[in-house]
Amino acid sequence: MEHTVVSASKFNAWFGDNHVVKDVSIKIEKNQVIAVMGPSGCGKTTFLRCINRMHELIPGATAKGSLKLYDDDVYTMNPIYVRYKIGMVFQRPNPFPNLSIYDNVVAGYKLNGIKMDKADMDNIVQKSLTSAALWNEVKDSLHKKGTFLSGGQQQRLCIARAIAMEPEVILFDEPTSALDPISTSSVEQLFHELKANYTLIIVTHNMQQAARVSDKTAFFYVGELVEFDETKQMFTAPRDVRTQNYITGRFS
Amino acid sequence: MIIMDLANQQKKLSLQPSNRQTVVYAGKEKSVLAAFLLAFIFGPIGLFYASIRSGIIMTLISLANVVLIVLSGFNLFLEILAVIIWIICIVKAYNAAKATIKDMDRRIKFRNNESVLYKSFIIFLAFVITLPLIIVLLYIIKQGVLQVNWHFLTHVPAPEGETGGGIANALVGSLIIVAMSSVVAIPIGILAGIYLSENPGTKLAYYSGLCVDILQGVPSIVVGIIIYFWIVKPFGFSAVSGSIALAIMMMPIVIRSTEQTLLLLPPSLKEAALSLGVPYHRVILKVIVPCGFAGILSGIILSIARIIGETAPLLFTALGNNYLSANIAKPMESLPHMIYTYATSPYDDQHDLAWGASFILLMFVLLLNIFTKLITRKWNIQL
Amino acid sequence: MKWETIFRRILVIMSVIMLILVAGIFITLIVQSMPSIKSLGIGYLWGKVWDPVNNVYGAYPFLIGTLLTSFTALIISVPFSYAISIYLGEYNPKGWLSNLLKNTIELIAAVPSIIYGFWALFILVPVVRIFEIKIGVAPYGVGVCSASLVLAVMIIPYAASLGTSLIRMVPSPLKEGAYALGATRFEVIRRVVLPYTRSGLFAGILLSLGRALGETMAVTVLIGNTSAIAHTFKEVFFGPGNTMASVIANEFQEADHTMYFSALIELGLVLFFVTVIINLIGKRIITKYTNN
Repeated sequence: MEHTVVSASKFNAWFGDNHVVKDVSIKIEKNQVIAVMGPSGCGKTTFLRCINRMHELIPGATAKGSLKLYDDDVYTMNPIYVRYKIGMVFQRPNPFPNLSIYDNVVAGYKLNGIKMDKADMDNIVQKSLTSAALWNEVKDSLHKKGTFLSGGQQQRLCIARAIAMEPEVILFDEPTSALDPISTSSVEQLFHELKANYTLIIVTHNMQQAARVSDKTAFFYVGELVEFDETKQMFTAPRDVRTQNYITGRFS
Repeated sequence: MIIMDLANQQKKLSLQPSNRQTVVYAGKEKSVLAAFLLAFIFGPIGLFYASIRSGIIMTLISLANVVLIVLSGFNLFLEILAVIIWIICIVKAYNAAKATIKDMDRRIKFRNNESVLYKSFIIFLAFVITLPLIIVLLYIIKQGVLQVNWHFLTHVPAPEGETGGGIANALVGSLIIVAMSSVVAIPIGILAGIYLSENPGTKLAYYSGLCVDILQGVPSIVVGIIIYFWIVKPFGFSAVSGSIALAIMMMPIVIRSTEQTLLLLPPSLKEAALSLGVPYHRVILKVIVPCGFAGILSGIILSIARIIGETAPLLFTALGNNYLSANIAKPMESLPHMIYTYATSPYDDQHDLAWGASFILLMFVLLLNIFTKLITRKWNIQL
Repeated sequence: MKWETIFRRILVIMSVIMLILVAGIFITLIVQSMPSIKSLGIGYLWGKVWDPVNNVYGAYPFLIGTLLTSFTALIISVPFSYAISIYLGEYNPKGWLSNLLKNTIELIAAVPSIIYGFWALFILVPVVRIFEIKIGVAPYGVGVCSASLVLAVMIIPYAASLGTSLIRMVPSPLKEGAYALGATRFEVIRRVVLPYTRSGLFAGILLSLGRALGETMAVTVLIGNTSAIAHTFKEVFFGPGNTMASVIANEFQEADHTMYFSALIELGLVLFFVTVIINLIGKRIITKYTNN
């Protein structure tokens, strides 16, 4: 039980009257990479965004049920604190264009008005950029704006930004779908390294990616969590026929 | 320095104490309220409570400002600068004190409250500005509606000092002048707008577009002066001169709205017509313009609504006329001009006429604007 | 074939007319102010005395009047247009309340300026007079203060509508990135939305300023029409004055000799330059913005 980092029990989410996530129950353990897959509109992204309470930012969005970080219900905690502890990386790299690379990494602190000694900030920037495998490429241009970075580098900058807040869990919403193959593989390489310190939950459309990087996979279909199992198991011998159909490409 | 340990927060929850400890130096905690009040009352000196470094900087700046004020004669701008410095001190004090809140929960609560307070403040400012408008409209309606009756609309003003009379000359005059302006401005405006939308990259389009922007920004009194020299000097004061001045002000609006409307049309429309062998001028006049009709019409109505209330261009061109006249080669009265003349006159009766005229003018403008809104909504265009 | 060419030629001619108009305005202004430019030179701009009877002309009082009314109006209007832009752009972009506010703001811009001036003359000026008695200034009522207040309300819609569109254009992924890091709504607006739209909002302010500088009628009615300069800030602000536009409007008809005339036209020339430049800079920033 102490190893369960994120757990949901009969969790539901709506957009207005549209019931998008239906009675999802799942237990995710620490220091694992979890892939979340499913056809378009199956609720996987919505569920992901409920975990760090980004879902409720959309007008008319509601949620019900139990969603816990360790033993605390995320919906009773202060959402700001939830987002400190659960970071997010988006589909399109979205570094803040008016901030330098350095300021982007510590944006989490600056946005929240947290003041630090310069030495500590430098430390955090270096640690985060190193964990994101970006340090060597940008260490000489920390105070430039990140517009010259490639897509893959920008995405790793966003990862560094999330890591700088020292979260427990990092959520990824199709993080490589906007990147070229080389950048994609550099980001995937990161997943292996980040696993040691964080728990990663990755929504992806790319089955090969899920097979490559994840320990366990969750398959969503029309709002329900159909199957959640060891990745190897799910891809070779899925238990549910819907999973089977998705994996073999009968629908996507 | 006191260490604020984010890990403390985790102990309150069930989160496992992480081996990563985020250490944030927050300094001695300062009360935000105290910092705000001190800076509010004592300015840069009060800032010292919240932050010594900022206090030093702002005190030095204000001292420099004070020295300049004492030395110079016209110290208007420096006095304004002093007020700005004071406000900056208050903001700095607030931010500095805010950053020293130790307890994470309290800090988050504070920031949430701050966000709510800000939203209320924004909503207040945004809506409070409707009050002046409502007051103006209500007053004009109240004063003006009393004046309006059939007599009012069909008679010319009585001689000074006498009661009675109406605004017939101004009413008819405005209609005639605006009609003439439209006759000039609409064709030129639409055609120029067509050119700009059809030839976007050319040099002529660039410079012409630049001139349209310039014309849109020319103060109305300057337009009046120009027409005075071009037309009034050689030909005398006349309604025609006033119309041309107003036409110059109408044109940029018509041009821009025509251009924008046509640019939004799908290019396949023109291509389809051309591929049927239709000559260019027919494609434009019979296909493109009718398709953009609603947008062009809205632009025209908006420009009319704009110039029907313009006074300055008419001051030295159409002048005014106490008699009802349809002679466009002679001076002619108009609603805004009459309001201006009578508003500043010493006679109460003329004030009454001005209120009535204002009411009529206001109604005209409102109706035109509502009409435009209905058109854009019905045809769903963006202007 | 013939009609086509004629039509194309007509289109070109219409565009050329725009060029001719602007060139004509420019040339006329310069030619007509030549006598005054030649004899008074550049000192005209800071000449403090305007005395047509003795043929002494200085534009300084009107420059001060124009700058004072326009900038005061601008400063007063900025918080309001800023609040409206943020409300309509960020907090409440859709819905009936939002449309209501948007239409009200557009209505403010639609009301003719003479009506504002007329209303203010009878309603606002007495109030200002009472206030002036309270603070111990001569109770003119009319003057820079009243003119600035009315002007402030009149120019709000220009910055507000531009600001609203700009704030709506801030890409959501950017804001989401900030929310995901734990920022409050206020912090997202302050640290992401506003920096992103900074130069565009500045252009909106420039456009409002351009409008304020060129506004004639409301100001003429409310400004009090004195060409003397007062001495203390209080007197300048709460007393009567003149702007470039209002002095032209008032004295144009009375100008009986060439020098008087051309001095007034020279004011028009200065006014023309200043408003055109400010408007063009504002428009340039906006096009650069929307092309990004």
